[in-house]
Amino acid sequence: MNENEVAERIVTQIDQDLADLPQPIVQKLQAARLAAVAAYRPGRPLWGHSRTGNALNGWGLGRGLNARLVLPAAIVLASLTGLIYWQMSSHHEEELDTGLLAGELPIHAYTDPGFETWLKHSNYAQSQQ
Amino acid sequence: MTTIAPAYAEAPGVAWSKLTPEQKSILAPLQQEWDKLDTERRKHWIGLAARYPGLPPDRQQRIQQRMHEWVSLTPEQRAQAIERYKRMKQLPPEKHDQLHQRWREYQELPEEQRQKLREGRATPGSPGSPAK
Repeated sequence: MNENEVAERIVTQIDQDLADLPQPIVQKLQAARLAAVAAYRPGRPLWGHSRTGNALNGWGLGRGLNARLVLPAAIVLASLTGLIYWQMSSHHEEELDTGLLAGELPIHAYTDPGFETWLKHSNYAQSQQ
Repeated sequence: MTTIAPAYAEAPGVAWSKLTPEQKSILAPLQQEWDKLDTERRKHWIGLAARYPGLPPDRQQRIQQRMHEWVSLTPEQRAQAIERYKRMKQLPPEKHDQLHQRWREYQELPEEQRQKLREGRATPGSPGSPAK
């Protein structure tokens, strides 16, 4: 697989994931983007004041972070954290289903409450305790 | 040079017609139900199709045979099955062998006894109840 093919597969995966994002996450990302756009002022530094041209002052390190940018950044960070968690849990469920569908016990063994009761009266129950 | 489509251009795999030939081949048992599945479930099956080629042939065959049965379950039944699978998966290998034995024993029970077990009415000391 060459570099382009790898890139194509990544883009395809991103397309699928983005298209299937839960609505709450989409709304949070939209809100974060709107907040960031609303806070942006052309010609003004992103962080603190930089009239002196000093690199450290330009990043606002001496005056603290600009609250107008901290909030949107925090929202974006929280949204990304939620997205990553959602993707991880989704992948985990897929693995579970694959194992369940491909396992040696039939699906009926997992849906029949009688089998679970049967197991509770066997060594299986003891091993769970 | 290959052109890469921009993200968000389209949602591949959502509709059956958008699946690749390989995905359609793997997910063929679901074709009739596909339109009834929600977006999340479709994404789930597409993810399974991606892992499918890496599975041993016997596991691939089981998946093919069980797909239809799995989607016919209610969400509650699927959640219940997954929870039981999680618990059983945590058992050591020798216990897995016992699980298969227990399943065979359970299937050999009279239907009346199995029904009692389903209703939680059987006790370890009752006739036909499982050996301790």
